[in-house]
Amino acid sequence: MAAAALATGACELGTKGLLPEAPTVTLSPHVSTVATVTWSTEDPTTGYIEYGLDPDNLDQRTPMSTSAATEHDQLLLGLAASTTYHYRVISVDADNGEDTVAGETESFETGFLPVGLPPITTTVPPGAGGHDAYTIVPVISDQASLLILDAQGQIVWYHAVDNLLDTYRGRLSVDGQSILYNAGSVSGDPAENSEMVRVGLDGTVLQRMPVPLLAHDFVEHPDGTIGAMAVEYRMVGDRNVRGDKIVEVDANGVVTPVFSTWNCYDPNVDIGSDQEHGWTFANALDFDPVENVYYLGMRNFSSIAKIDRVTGQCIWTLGLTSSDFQFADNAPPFKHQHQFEIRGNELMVFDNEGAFGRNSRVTKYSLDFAQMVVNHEWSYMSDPSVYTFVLGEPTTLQNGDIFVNWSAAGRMERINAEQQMQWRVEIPAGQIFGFNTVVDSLYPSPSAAR
Amino acid sequence: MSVASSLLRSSSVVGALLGSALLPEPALANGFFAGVQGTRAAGRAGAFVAKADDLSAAHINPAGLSRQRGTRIFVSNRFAYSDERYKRAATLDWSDLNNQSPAYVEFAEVSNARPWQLLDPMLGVSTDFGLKNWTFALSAHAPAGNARQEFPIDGGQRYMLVSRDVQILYYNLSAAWQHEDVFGVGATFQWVDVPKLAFELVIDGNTLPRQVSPVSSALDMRAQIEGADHVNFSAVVGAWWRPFCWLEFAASSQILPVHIDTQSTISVEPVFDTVTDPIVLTRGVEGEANDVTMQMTLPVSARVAARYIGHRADGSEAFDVELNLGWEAWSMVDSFVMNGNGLVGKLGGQQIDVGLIELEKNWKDSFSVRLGSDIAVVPERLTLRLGAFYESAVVDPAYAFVDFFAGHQYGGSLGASVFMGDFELSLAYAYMRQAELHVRESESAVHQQVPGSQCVAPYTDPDNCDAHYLGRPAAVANAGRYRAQYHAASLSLGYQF
Repeated sequence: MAAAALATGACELGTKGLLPEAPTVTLSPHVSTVATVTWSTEDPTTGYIEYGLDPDNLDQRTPMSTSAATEHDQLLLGLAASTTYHYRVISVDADNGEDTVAGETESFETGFLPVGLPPITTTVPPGAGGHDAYTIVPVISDQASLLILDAQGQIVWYHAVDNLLDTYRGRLSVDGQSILYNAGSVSGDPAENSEMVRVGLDGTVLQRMPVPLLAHDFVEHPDGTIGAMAVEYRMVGDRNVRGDKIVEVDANGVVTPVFSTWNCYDPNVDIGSDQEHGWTFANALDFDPVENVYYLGMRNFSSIAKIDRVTGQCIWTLGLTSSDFQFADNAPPFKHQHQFEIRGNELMVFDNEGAFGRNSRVTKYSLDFAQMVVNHEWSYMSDPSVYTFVLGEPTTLQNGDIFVNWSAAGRMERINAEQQMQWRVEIPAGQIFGFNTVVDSLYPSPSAAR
Repeated sequence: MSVASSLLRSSSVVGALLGSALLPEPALANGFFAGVQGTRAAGRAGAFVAKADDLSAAHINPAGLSRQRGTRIFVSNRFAYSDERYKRAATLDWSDLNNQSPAYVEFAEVSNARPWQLLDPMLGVSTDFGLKNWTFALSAHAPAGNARQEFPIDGGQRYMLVSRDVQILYYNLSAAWQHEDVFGVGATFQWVDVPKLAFELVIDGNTLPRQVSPVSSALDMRAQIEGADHVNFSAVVGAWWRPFCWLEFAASSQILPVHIDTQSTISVEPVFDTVTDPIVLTRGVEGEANDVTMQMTLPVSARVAARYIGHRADGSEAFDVELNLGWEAWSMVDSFVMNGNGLVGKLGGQQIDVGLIELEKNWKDSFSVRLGSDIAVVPERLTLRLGAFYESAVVDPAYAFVDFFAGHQYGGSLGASVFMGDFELSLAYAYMRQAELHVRESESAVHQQVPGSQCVAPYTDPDNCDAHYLGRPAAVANAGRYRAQYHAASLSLGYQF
């Protein structure tokens, strides 16, 4: 470390006690692309790590630690497999927050990806802007796994679902310390042993929260409470009818129902399609913390419901079944939709089967709440067009671009405001992308999921 | 013709003789000054208060003129090389976040691009007019130092200084009287002309709240201030006393400080071409204006000396050893203040108050020890001299600044005089080094100039002040390492009638 001291002028400036000593890198035994850097300092310091592929341009940073310490450790996230990275520790005097020194630049190599993860093909058309965010997305195949892809489409984090279940959604927890995912089954009968799983960023399974009959989607509230969809069977006459509910799971794993489709709809009156696969067949969930309402997508109703989180009452329903809205003449209704996005009076829907032929699309609507009319804004189909028989999700990015997940088609792409493709990743046929969560950073930050 | 206009006219003549376009800055030692003016004095590392036997006595100890009999003409020049370097300390740039962590920014070392000082003259004449006890002298000199500095506009120092050009001329009228070879007194009246005082630095034109840009701001502005102050006065008095033929005591003092108050102009230009609108300076109802004042102070000082004289059998001096103790009242220098008296810069629809730029100095008094000696190796033909000195720091590290490297200084010198009939040719070489100065960000007290900042004292309002700089007006500008060393050679020619 003497050389580092000379290099940074720490000895001259009297900041030698801030110098990071003995930095060591350890790869996670669970995720070969996650590294932990440990170091020590003579004086209490805070600090962070600069890292990157070019030793002369360490363009990534970990968040600065907030508590003073002399023994330090930080995770490096967002690393590609089998790649040499360079890093150095930036140490900051905890007493004044001003004096700072840098350690020497060191290097390490990440490990291999495990066998079984899908090969991912990334395409950025000439002149296109590419992508600039991470995508947390399950891949459903013989072995379901949860992946995080970087902006280049490289796998930078992975987790195998280990109980023979599938997973449909992964989210970075609101505190930024873990990944949450649902492990369940929606193909055929829902699983009694389904669960919400919390995994540390180093891949360690931290918590399993059993929630029987989990369906496709869940959200996490700002206080950490999980709101999840689950199947709710009830007997109607002699029929065992498959409805849906929303349950909330607290930090201790206690499950509390907050809504049931049975409260708003009557299977004898509100009849959608594909009843052989279930009645309401809820398949997508969103939450608006401002209004404290859930939005629930129901595939077999081809409808979306707005639900009061406190009372569990349906505020309105929009779609082909039990709708409080009318589609304008030029507004094509969506059918068997999956994920959607509601922002103010704008609704964007992944419309699996509303288009002619075996084509799926994303459709943007504007909602006239006064007249309860749905107006059409635009629709988008991928090029070449694909049919997504299950899942699918549109996401508006911060700059206005749209991220479209054509799940069952094994494709995700980013398009700009002119609907020009900027970036695309694909996996081989037979493998399906689950719902996606797009984040700017894998570290805790104000910009969480979007 | 009035006295003032006569003085101005004569000053122009002398100034032309001296080559005023290349004159250096101010002649004590530390603070504004670097080195000693006068070849004999320089060869003794400035230990010259008692010896004072050439025309440089006029500003070092005018009483020494009393022993310079007859009529003498003196011309000298000092050539100097100033190696001044600054490396800004690494800083955290909270305006450049990645995962909520600031960028760690290191800076390259910068150095003065104009290290050579080729013209640093002194000339004059002294005469006793045939009087037994009196000597009079008229001289002019530019004090020893480094007049110009130039650093890169994108260097780590730019929020302190980009360039500086300070030219100061002293016109000295001296009179000295002695009582036999026992006691003498003298005084020099000085007219101090500052033909040019120019500073250039980068200021941050940001006016938005909670925005601090410690490394670079899109609204960085190049502020150039240039002016002159031709009429200032000062005085030096001194005395010597020789109680024994082998022992002499002396004292001198610069008794009047010089308060330079230049009438200047300021220009403000964007550093980056991303700002394309012109910046218009206005003041109240006057409309467009660019006049400002710039204030600096040259302090008083005092020195005492003791000199031991060794004699040959014929009574002539064989050698001497002189010890000087000096005090310079640099604590009079609190700051350099540019006052625009309400001047406002308008950039597009944004208004930037450039009315007051205050470069805090908070200098402290310095104390020096100087030891020098002359050795008459070949009587009346060749004299060798040498000396060494130490001077305490003028600047507190918190206020270190690249315009004047004013830390602890020490150095040594060598010199020689060759006598050829009525002519004397003298040479001297001096080396001076500043002890390296290191300033941590946490201890520094010099900040970026952000005249339009909404963050005002005590700089703790979270609505207007960046959370990472609470308690500070802006980002620290002067942390880092300061290194300086100086080489100077003097050459002088004297003729005695």
